[in-house]
Amino acid sequence: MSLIHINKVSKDYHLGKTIVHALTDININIEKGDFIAVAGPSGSGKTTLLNLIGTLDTPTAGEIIFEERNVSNLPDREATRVRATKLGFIFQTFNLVPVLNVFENVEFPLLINERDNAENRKDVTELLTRVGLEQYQKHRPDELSGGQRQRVAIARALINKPMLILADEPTANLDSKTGENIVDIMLKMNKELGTTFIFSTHDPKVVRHATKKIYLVDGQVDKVEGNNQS
Amino acid sequence: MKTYWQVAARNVWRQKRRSILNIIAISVNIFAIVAYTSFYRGWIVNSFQNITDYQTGHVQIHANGFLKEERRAPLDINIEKSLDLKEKIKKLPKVTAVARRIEFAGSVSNMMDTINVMGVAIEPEDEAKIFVRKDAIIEGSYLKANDEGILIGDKLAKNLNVGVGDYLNLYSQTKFNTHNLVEVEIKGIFSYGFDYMDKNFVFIPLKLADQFLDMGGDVNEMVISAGSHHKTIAAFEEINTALSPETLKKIEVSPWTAFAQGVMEDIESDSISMVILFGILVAMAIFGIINTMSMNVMERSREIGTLRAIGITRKGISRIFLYEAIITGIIAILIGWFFGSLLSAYLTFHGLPMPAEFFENVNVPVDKVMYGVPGITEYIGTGILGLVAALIGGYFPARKAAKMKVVDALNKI
Ligand SMILES: Nc1ncnc2c1ncn2[C@@H]1O[C@H](COP(=O)(O)OP(=O)(O)O)[C@@H](O)[C@H]1O
Ligand SMILES: [Mg+2]
Repeated sequence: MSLIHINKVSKDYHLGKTIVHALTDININIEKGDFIAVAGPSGSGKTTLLNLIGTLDTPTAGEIIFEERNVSNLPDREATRVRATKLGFIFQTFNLVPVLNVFENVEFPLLINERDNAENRKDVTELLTRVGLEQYQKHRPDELSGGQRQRVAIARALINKPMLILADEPTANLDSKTGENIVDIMLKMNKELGTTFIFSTHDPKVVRHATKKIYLVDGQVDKVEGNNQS
Repeated sequence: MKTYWQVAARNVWRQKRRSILNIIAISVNIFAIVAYTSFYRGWIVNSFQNITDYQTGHVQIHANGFLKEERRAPLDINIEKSLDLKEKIKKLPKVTAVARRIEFAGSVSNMMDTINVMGVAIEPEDEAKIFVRKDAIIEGSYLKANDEGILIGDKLAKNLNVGVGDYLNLYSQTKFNTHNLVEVEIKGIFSYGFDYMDKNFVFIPLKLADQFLDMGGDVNEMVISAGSHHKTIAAFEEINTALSPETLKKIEVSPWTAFAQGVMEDIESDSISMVILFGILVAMAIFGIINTMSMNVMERSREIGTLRAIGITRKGISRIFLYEAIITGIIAILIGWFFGSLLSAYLTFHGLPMPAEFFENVNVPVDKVMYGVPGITEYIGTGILGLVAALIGGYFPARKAAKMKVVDALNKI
């Protein structure tokens, strides 16, 4: 059984009288442990697809089955619950909470899930060690480089032991060396912790690292490369 | 970290400039209300004290019908057997003193000018137990029961250009509506510091007035002291239960507040004006908070989107902003209390000298230096007000933040 089954999903945006078909008839299966790149030029629908999988938005048609549950039209409260417990997010612009230091940023999702106890706080340090930031725990985000911030974001995305991490262009605001380093860290986490990753990118160098590649063009799947495609 | 409260507190700190504006907007109000209430309470306490000390005593008794015609100070509506009644009331435990009086309308003349006055005939010793009379004398001496003399105010003395030892002609109608005149020596000059008393009132001994007004032993007024104006109601009720129904049928027993209606109305209208004024100021503060916090919400859209993405509920988002408002409110309350208390303490211990012109326009006897009387009420009241203002101010921005669509919030710069 797939972790995620995307079934005939379309997404339209209405801009005044014109309708933008951001995604058209998308069918994808994602298996547990996949490390997937969603590649495609700007405007091809990568963000839209990740938002739909991440329950941040709802499709115009079709359904998204996550762990055998249709999550494509959940009420806000339940979608929030799914995100808090099953999903992790990494953003292009890092999006750390500026008033919290590195440790607190990673710890914050524990608080949301009321798991903020001494035991789980050990995981914060452990994850920060894994991403190589153990000496930066007390630093504020604005004292870190972009690459360092993104590593904090990776640790934050992992703290609640999610099934799936969604990363929308996680390397787009980084130089290519740092970007590749970030993808390496994600891949390492994927291997060590077994967490499924879906990240989007328009950078072919970054796509290389993925074990499975989904190419989008104009809101449609152009081709899929990699293991056990459906 | 650990709680939303700490996140909120740090955000208040992060947006220092706006937070300070919001804090000032609320704390200025709290400061002003705390200080003003202390001052105004002092004002009220002082006027009540002085009204009862100078003018009304605590309880008054008149024959039925007198009060309706008090303007003309009728001499034909008198208290029956006033001496017996006085002795009876004097024995009541909550009554500390009783004095009989005759209120009469008259005029005084220095042979050149004649000025209309309110005459009060008094039993000097008993009168002095109820009112500040002896201590108000600034020249000469207080009256004795057998004096053929008069006490006048300093302003009246000035208007008549007379002094202690000079003689005045006192004119009035007698009980039987005939005109009468008596020559009286000015025994003393009093000053209460406000014109209503110092220009218009004269005091003569009851004994002299009895002949001069042809009263045949009657009086039209009896004044009672309860020791302090706080004990008025207790004494008032005691008198009402002690007297027989037949007696009560013929007289009216009134607490002093019945004679201070002007003051009571002033207090009420002053209070209403202040509530309106502070209401407007607080509303402005609330709008200020709504404005600045809405800017915070807009600027922090992406942060809101991020928090929603990683699993904070709408409620959680609005909690963060509401907590920020509450923290702002609490800081503002503490600052407002602090500075309000400083001014209130200054008013309480040092007092505020009132400008001389002020006394030309008031008909409430207040002291030349007003002292604050602080109370817990203004602290509780402003505490609640500050929190409510902060909550209302924070509510709308918080709701706006909570209602944002996650994707839209994430897309904002
Ligand atoms: N909120 C929106 N309203 C209208 N059109 C949108 C919106 N979001 C995305 N689109 C359109 O949908 C298409 C796909 O966008 P997007 O998913 O952001 O692509 P990508 O992430 O690959 O650059 C684009 O044509 C874009 O203009
Ligand atoms: Mg995009």
